[in-house]
Amino acid sequence: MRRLGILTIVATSGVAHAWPEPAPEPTAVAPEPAPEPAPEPVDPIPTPAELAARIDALEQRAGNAELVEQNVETLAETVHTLVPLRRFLTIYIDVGWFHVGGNGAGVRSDVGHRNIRDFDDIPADWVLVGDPLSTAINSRGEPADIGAARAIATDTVNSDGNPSFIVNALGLAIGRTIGRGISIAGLVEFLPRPGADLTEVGLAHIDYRPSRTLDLVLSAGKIDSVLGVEYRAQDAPRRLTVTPSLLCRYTCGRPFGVQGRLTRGRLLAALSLTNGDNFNERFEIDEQTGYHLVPTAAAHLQWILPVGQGLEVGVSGAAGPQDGQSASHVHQWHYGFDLRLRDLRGVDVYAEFVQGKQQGSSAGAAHAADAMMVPSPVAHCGIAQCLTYKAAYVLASKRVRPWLTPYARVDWRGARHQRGLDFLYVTRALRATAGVHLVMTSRMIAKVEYTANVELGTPQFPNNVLTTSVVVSTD
Amino acid sequence: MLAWRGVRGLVLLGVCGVAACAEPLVDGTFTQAEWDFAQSFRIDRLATPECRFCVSADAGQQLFFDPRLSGEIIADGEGALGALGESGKVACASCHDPQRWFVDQRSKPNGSSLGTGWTKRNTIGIVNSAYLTAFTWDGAASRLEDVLEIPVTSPAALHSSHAIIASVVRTHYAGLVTAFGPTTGSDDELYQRAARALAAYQTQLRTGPAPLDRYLAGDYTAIPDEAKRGLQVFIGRGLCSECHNGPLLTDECFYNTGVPQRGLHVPATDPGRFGVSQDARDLGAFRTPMLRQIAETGPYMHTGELATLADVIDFYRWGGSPSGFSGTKDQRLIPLEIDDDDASALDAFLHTLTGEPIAAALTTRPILP
Repeated sequence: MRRLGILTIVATSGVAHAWPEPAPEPTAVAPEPAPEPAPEPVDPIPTPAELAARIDALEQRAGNAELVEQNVETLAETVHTLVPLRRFLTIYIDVGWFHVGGNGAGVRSDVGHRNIRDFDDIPADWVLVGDPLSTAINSRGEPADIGAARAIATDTVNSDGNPSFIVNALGLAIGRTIGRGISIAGLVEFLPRPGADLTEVGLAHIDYRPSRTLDLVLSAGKIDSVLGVEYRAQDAPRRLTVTPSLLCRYTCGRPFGVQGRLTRGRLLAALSLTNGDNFNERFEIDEQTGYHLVPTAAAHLQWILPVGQGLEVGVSGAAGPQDGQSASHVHQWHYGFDLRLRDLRGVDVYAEFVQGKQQGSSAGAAHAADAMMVPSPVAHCGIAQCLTYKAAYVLASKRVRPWLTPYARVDWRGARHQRGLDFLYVTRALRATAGVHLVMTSRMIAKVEYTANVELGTPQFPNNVLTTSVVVSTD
Repeated sequence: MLAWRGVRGLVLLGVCGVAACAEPLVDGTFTQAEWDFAQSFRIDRLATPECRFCVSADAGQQLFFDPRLSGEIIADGEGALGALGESGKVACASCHDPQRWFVDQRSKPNGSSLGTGWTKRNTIGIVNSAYLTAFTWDGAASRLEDVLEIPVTSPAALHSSHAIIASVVRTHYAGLVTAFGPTTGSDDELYQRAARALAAYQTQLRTGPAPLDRYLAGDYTAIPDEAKRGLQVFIGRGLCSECHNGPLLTDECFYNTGVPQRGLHVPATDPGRFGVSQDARDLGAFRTPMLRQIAETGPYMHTGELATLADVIDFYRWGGSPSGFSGTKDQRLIPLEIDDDDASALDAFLHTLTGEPIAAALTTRPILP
């Protein structure tokens, strides 16, 4: 299967201009000095000896011209060789403006325990309704404000409900084929943020194609998820929408590990073994180096059916020890179904459904080895958080002009997420998103998007999102 | 060009859409959810308590001020109400001072109160107690007429007995003897009549609306802006309303909030609610006190250790004491996510809970029979 990550951005793009011009290599044969000019003819009728000399001179000049031509060819080959060097770095900048209703947050405390019953032991201020990421304003899924949210530690945008301009990311994408089927890829994003600027290494992996006949790619490093389809185009230059779906937090992570991707005819298969789950780091901070004896296994199978340019139907799943604690027997699982219809009369459709569970573990359980945790006498889901979730979305778009693609998305998420008495999220969120994707030039896209958030079963609060994004890329 | 026009149009449309969803804040401060919850604090939401023994309320007031109900004094020293061994020196009003919202402000900085001896706990307020269903710090009484038993049997409070009470009633309160119908005149029966009379008197000790109540009723000038922010902290990240809720700002439940057993006359351990329930989880737990007129009823906590509301806020702000208390502290007692401004605002809010004083006729010492 062709990798649709950032490598593709590089491989399919035109010539970049950010890389410095390489110095030409020395040629194999040095050009000879130009011959001296022929002496002025004294006699208009040349002698045979003179004619012979002229012929010699002309032959010598012809020989020199041939050498020059060879030099040019050599130089052209050198330039051709160096072109990829100029192309392995792609730079993009994603800037935007957003305005989110209310205080910018997607959650509210259940003031006075008026909506969520049976959890009176958790302070009402820590019982939260809504979805903390429902007010995402960029492709990274950063909410405009975290408000009272307690599971998300850093309020990177912190808008407090005010409209704001933002530089979503300055991205550096690196991808290069080294030779013999080996290539490298990386993605670094710089995030100017209030308080402290952030740097995030999103991808850093080595890819290896062991066979020219078998379409198999083996990767190792900080790799893409294999779950579902949304992760494939999650970075701003490639994302159709401005913001991710509500389930991207479960499928768009980039853990440390190894993976293999195989394409055979209409079947695509991907398998990964990673240090932890495939959750987005924003939703759950990864222990990126090993924390368990057993890795998390994840797989995706996909069939391409002959509908439009291809109807991709996939199923994926993951299982392994739960992140956030060290016991291997405390597990989590995830499965999902995905569908992608490509270009049926200009219409593209994405749809995904996922369900999963983090088992969680309470204080007092057999986690004495959990040196990082302070044992506590009570607290259900106290050592490791408990999480159950279901989520789905449908995203449809139609290219009505080469430069204009309107889209609409409906997504839903139901979840219960508890960590001891620290917090309880009860989410029943429904969102409707409409937007347009505009190709302004070959290297500039603009997106405008409006999202209406609805909290099911609890009082509504204003948290609708208007957000924009302009992405300019060197490729 | 068309693309740019499209962008501009959508931005304008979206701005309008978001603007229409701007959150309406009550008084520019509270979300609707916060305001709706705060309405549950209004004291006018309380039904007037039944006054079953009101016929004897005047006698109850006399008994409340009557030191003849008490037995021998067992502690002397500064503030003592009599000499060691003297009887008839301590009245209910000695510790429940009517001029001080019926709490004992003599206990500053002693912590506990001084009746016939040093009590092990700070005197708890009795104003508005007619609305309650559990009384005293540990809920040892569940009816107002049962409360008298506690100081009567305590050597440090009244150090009295049914016989002493009955004797006083029999000798001086002839009207009370017949107030509830025929009687055999036994000590227990007369004691019960005294208890009912005291309950009747206490039922009358109720406050009216405080500035907070007027504010919640719609008078947005009734409390200062800082107090409004304090109310927001109170029901939000201060977590205060977890226990202090309802019109009296108490849930009448029992919690171990990590108050250390510290003070000159405070015992090293105190079983708290466990002494009543015998449930190990209640060890060191005490009833959530009412917060009505809390600004006037210091010192605070069951040990009387904290002299000011600022001290109390600071105590909870840092999650209670790490040690020195009986039992296991409630897990929710962790450092709060509030800052100095929040603490100051909370203090201001707590000062809006004081209603009009109790009528002078009820706080004045009557002529004793």
